[in-house]
Amino acid sequence: MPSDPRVAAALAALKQPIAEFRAAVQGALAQADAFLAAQSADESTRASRAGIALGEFGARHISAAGFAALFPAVAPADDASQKALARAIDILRSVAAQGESLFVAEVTKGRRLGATIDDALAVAGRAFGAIIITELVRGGRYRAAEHDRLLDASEFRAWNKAERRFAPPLVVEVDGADLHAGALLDFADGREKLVLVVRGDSAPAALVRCVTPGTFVLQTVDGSGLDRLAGYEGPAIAAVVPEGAAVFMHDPTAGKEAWQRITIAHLPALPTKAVGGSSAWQLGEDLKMLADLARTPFAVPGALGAKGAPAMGAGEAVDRLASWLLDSSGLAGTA
Amino acid sequence: MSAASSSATAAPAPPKVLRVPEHTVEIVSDSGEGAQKCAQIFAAVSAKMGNGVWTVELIPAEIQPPPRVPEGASGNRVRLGEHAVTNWGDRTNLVIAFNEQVLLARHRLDALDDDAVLLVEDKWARDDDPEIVAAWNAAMKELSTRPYRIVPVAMEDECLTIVDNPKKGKNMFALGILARIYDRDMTRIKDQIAHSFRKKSEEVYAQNVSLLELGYHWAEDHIDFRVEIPTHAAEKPLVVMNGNEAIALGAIASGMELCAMYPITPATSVSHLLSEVFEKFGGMVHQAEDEIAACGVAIGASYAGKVAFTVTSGPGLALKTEFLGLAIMTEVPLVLVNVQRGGPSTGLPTKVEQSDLLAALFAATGDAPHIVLAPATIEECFHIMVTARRLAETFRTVVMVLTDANLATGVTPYPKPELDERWQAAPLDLAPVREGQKPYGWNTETGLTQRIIPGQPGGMHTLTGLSHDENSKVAYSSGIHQHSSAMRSRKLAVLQSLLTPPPVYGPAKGDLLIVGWGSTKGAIEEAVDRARAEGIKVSSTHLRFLSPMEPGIKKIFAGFKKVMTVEINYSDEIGDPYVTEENRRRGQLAFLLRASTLVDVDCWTRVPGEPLRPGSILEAIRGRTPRGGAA
Repeated sequence: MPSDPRVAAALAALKQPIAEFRAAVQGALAQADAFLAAQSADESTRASRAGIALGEFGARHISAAGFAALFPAVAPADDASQKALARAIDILRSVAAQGESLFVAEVTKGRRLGATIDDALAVAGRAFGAIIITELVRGGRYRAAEHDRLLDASEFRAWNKAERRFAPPLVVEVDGADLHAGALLDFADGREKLVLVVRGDSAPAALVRCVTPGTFVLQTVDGSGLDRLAGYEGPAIAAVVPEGAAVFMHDPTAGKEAWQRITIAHLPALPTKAVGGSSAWQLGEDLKMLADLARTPFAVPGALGAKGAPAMGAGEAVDRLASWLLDSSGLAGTA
Repeated sequence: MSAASSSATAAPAPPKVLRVPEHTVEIVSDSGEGAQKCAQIFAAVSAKMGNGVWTVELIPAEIQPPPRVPEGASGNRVRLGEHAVTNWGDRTNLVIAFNEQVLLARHRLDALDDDAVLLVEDKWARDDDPEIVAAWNAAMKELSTRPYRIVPVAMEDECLTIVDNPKKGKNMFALGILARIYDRDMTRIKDQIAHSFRKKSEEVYAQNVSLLELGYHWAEDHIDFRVEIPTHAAEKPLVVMNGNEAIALGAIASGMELCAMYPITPATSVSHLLSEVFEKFGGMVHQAEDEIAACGVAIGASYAGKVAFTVTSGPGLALKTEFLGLAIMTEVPLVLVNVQRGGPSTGLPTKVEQSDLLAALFAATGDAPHIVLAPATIEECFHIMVTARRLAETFRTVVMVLTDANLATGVTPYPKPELDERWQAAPLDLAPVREGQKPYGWNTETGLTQRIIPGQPGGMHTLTGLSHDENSKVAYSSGIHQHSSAMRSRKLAVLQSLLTPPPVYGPAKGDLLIVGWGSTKGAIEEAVDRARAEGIKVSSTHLRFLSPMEPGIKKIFAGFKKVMTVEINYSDEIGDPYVTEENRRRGQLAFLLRASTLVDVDCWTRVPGEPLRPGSILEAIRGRTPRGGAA
């Protein structure tokens, strides 16, 4: 079990995507086991299975052997296919047997964030290759020369669209000094969910550079907002940051414009010292960009004050726009 | 009739104990007075204590009929037995009635045994309204034509010592009386009350328990008899439920993922239970905007690879017919549960009938072969869902499950099902479609095809309700239509070849064979037992598969001089004006059996709006057989 309670909290928030990934693995395993069992089943075994599938009512009134005989026996798979299927099953079993560690990685000294995530996802990604091999063998389409490489570890960049939609979420423990947002953008696709648990000093708004119209981005101190991240249907990146860093959420479902999508709960003062390889000026640029993105397209007193822009509803925005128009035209207070 | 003065206001003497193998009790009231709740708790506790139980709801045709009219009688009959009870029996031995008009209703329906004990709320005899008093007196006079024992009970006066509104208390007071008379375990009753009112406050529970105890002590002081029905501990753990609950739980056990429905009596409670628990098992209930849409949603979900069913009753079945044709033509698996009620049209929404058999078989236009099953017991309602799902998927067709209001609302204990996760197996092999596989690549021997789900690599095709060839291409050629029709039909012949002949209840030879289907099994077999005890050579058989029919039926018929169906649907009687052998409209199963066996099958059918009584069936048997075993 992770020692940092923030990791446990992140895993708890990611329960649903973890369950979905596990279900995909378990489903493939069940299909593979059933295929293997069918390969070796004799008539009486097949009849017995059919009898169970028909339920008690059916078993009393329907000939199970006759029912089983309705379908031709599964065509025997060749040796190469059987071996590939056995390897695929081993991988699926190993992935299924792994506990939470499958969904947790740590950026150790001397390693980079991007490489750590790549390696961690590649382990889980072998399951995708195993699932495909299983389907190919069952469908009689397996060709060793063409397909065996699927069982090797597979990096995220090689995953197809479907795999990226079932991508396993990952919680990454990282020192603030090693948090480079650029490394994260490679994984912002499908439904990948990354949660960074940041230790020590970190850039105050490191994740702002991950904000794109379709990516859910969150910086949180206490874990609030992770539940929304887990339920988001697209890619999502979050950082559980130390006290003092910016706290904000970019929720792509909240509106068309950046200022509608970004909610800032805390915007710290401009930094005066460097963190990791980033200078104070660079860190300050992050903060200014966050403020810029959240800035409403019209003057809203206090909206970009020290505490950042509060969340707004559409109705409230209209009221503020009306107020600004009145101010601009010098008509305020004349009614 | 014993005089009303036989009411037991005298000092209590040790009660006379009546030891009997079975006893039948009814609790009747106006709608909304809770008689059904009282009976449900009484029945559940009796079953848990080791009695056989069968209950039947007595429901008025209107949702809110006027008070104090015979037509508004609402409640339950509970038949208790030392051993398993399979039907509601003939007449009631004891009634608790909340007014004399609902009691009169039961009397007029000949539901009460001659020596029945009738405990009736007597406040109406002293009402301020002279019309009510006159109605009471008239009812007592009418009831006096039979030797009932009437026991007045001041229910309202007693209940008012605890509650302000006696309309919400009499049922628990009545439950207390029954608990005393039948020596029911008060702890179990209190547990059952807690379960029944689990969504209410602690205060409501406490008040109901107070009323229960009040009724119990009142009976201790005023009722001079008790009824003792031996109990036996069950060999296996039992569950107690009605048929709709069994259908719902069976649907979950079978791996169903979607119940698409539109509310209709008496089918709705299937979805009520599912809506509470289905999501815990990965399923969902979709209440569509109408019956047609509900069927369409279920078909769509099934087409997409989900395991879906829809549930309805008579008028809903009529509305779904166009979509049923689509499911059959496109070979999309679908399970449809039809909880039959009286018809035609809106008919008798709350009453039992078996009049949908022919509609179920021939509802869709064109040649639309599909499977029709009928569970005979509440236990079978559970297990039949597993089979229905498997058949629908294997044969890629519609499977209709015909239950009825008797099974739907009747409650009985049955052995706890031993669930098997293999019932829930995924319906499909989602491996990529094999090279050359066609969406309707019928096996020319069996008509069976491997199903393709949208999105499966290599499986792209157009789905159409138009006549189509193996590639699902629209085809107007007569040859293709002939072939595809044969393939859809062949599946039923294949299924029939796998079925076992129906067992015969009793000897395989005799004077008369009764053939039944659906919920009448218990009543028929009880009637057969009683007839055989009289020396009549009668047996019975009960069909569960109505399309295709089970094999060997004609051979079974050959062992008997006469064959007669017993059904809860309408048939003409020979001797009625204009009715001849040639134009006689027969019971629906008789119609089918005559057509399929060419045997001169007779029928005895009734549409009384209630389950058939074994005594009535016995009379019919006597009328068609020689006595004493003489041929």
